[in-house]
Amino acid sequence: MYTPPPRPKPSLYFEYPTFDFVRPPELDGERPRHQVAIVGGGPVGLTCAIELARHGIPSVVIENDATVADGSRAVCIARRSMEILQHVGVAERFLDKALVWTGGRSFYRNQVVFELEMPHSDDSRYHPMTNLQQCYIEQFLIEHIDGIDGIEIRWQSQVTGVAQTDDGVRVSIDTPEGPYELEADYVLAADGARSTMRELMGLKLSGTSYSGKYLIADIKMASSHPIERRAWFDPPANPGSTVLMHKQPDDIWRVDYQLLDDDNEAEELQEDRIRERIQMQLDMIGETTPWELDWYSLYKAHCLCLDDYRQGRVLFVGDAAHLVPIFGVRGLNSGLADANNLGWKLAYVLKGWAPADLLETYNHERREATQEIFREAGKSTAFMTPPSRGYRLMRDAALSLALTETWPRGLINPRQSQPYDYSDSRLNSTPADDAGFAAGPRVGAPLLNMRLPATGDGANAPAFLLDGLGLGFTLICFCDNALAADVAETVHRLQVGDEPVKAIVVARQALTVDGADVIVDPEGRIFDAYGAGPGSAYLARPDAHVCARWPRATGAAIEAALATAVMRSGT
Amino acid sequence: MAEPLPFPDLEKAFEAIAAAIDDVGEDKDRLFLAKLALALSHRLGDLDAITDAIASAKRDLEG
Repeated sequence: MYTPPPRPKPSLYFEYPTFDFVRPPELDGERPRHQVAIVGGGPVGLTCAIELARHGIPSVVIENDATVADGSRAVCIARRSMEILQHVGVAERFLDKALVWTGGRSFYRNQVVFELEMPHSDDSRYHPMTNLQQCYIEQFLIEHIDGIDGIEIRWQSQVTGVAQTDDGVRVSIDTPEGPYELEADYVLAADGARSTMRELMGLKLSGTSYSGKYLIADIKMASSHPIERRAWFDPPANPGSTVLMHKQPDDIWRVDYQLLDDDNEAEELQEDRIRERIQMQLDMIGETTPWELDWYSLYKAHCLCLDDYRQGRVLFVGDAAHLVPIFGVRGLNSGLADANNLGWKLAYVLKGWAPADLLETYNHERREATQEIFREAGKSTAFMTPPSRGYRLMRDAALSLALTETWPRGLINPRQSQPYDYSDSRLNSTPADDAGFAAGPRVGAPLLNMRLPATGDGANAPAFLLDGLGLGFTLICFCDNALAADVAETVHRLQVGDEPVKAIVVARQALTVDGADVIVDPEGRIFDAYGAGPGSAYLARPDAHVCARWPRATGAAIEAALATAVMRSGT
Repeated sequence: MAEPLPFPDLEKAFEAIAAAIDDVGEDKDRLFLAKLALALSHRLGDLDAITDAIASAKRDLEG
């Protein structure tokens, strides 16, 4: 008989909901066959469930807890993740609560050595970073799921076994009312850093673990300091340590500070000691506002991942598949990219629109993305918590020089999360004339967002290019005042399975195209940003990554690229 | 002054020197760093640039 974990300690700003256990039909002898079971009801598992539901695939989510994650945890949502969440349907709800920001400062001792300014323009629908505590992230996703048919969250349910058969997966689950077995065509393992699924399947993570430890804490403090990322290297209040501060909604501030090798871990985890160290930091920066400690946790940086995210009919996503360092905010953001990458692929496979091998490209593309994260975040981690004496000396040399010189400042850049380009995906078609593009998102990169010219259609007209993306593939065609005849014919009938490809025509002059949205771009801003001329086209996958583009497209080339992108030889 | 090192190469140099400091060990790192500075001065071939770099490196040493 399973008992869920104890309730989190009450929070100063968040009321933890309690989700009841609901007796599933399996406990009464029924054997419903599920298409997809998702183990883990965190942000990544929930986003997978919504992505699948958008594509018409129901799922059952197995969550061992009776409430949401305790504490702020992930906090920083990158712009690309907000675009993903926009299509999931929750971005507006997030923004109602969240704080947004574009930059920050790094200090050496007490002087600024680096000013972070992330790209942000009128063409960006979302800020480079959106801060929201993970408990809210999960709560908003759960509220959204309440209104969606086909997603069932089974709370207070612990996976205790998993067995693969030729055509499915059998999952053993323990509950407050006893154990049962559940059968599904596919299982997504989204059960986080300490994944039970990983353990049950005997899978090991490989890579590097760093020795540096951080105490991460939330405090409630009504400070009026602007929203920015601040990092202090070797601050006078915490000599030898690195300290980070981020502002969150509800007057909650996240303070992360490095514990040094000779710090006694047990002593440092005493609340009085945590308060003392945070007070020293606040004194140093001149914060006099009273504050209270809300939550804290110990954090160690890892670059660890599974060798294969696809294990038969079990697919690993998020922290269950990879543990990435906290620096550069890639944990949640890479997990959301996993969900975005896998959702449509699994849906297409289950609908019979693509062969099961399409799932192998999830493994390949996201493993490559993880390796890139390890390279970048590994550098950030080595700078934040030097792993050896040599690194420490060089790090301090770079910081000291950066007080008076500009050239070492790149070394201090926190390298915040960037979307990964699937440039060597087998789903891509790269025509020989791709070199004809002087600008625009490359094959493998996500589409570039652009503010659209005002149309006079008022609130109903999409304000940004990505607002108009389709549920499935999207074809963006550029022209003066008419499409080429063969392209127009293709636009009219292009589809995957019974799902039409969304066609967007960007034209210099007003026109109507049967079956397409038309954006009139008289000044050619979208043309320029996409390096496009009349006759150019971009084909984007359902996850908004470009899989082909042509300076001058033909109907036949577009159809061939679409077939390649779903691994069909000829449609 | 000669063309500065492109940033990706500066990063590689940073890491290579860090690893070399670890390799030579704590009792030899001062000698190693002095040899490295001298060898780089020779290769740079620009006394004004070396003098500038010495002045720059001498700043902010108090800790």
